[in-house]
Amino acid sequence: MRPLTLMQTLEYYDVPQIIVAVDAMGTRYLCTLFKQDEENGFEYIGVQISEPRLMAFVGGQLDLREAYLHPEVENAVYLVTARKEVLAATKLIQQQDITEKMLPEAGYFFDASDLVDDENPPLDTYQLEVPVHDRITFSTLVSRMGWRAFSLRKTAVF
Amino acid sequence: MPLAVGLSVIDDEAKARKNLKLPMFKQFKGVIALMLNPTDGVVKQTGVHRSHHTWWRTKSFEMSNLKMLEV
Repeated sequence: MRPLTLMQTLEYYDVPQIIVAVDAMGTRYLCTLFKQDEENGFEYIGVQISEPRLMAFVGGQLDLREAYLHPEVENAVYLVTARKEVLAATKLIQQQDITEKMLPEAGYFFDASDLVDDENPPLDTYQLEVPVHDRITFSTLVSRMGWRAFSLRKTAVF
Repeated sequence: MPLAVGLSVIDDEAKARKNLKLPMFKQFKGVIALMLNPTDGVVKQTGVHRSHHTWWRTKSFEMSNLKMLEV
């Protein structure tokens, strides 16, 4: 069993439906609820996911179903459980053992524009180097997420 | 008086329909629209999305008084 820490709830309906969790090594897991009962608690299908791919999902560019059917590396899909306030990756799920009941239907693209605004969220500041040919993609992501970007060079004006 | 248990509701039809793609909701056949009156309870935005609200219905709430809109 691999303990996880909840980083963010991305979709909530009665209970958290889509969450992002992280393990002790800093690996992120994108988890979608597929089963809930009093005896076993919450069961999520979780996939280890890189920061760029997670950003692609949050930016509305990655179908949630694809994240599970085509993970970035082998052996990346886990059964993630939340029982008695303990969140953990409990079992590796082989790709052929993923069942339809675990999966979202095709066409679920996340929409960050509907997220509740936090008036004074804590901010991290990064200095990025973005290829010029990714300017539109980057500005779209910045816009969708409601981030702020300041160009440091004349070639990258947003 | 509102009951202690709230019910999730969404004020965006497209968003509600999109949620039907999630594993927990694939069994549902569709969405319904409800027209709530002030006497039906209290509603507050909750959760991470602006479109998500919790409705705490009153004990006096009557299903027969509910105006159900087909969606």
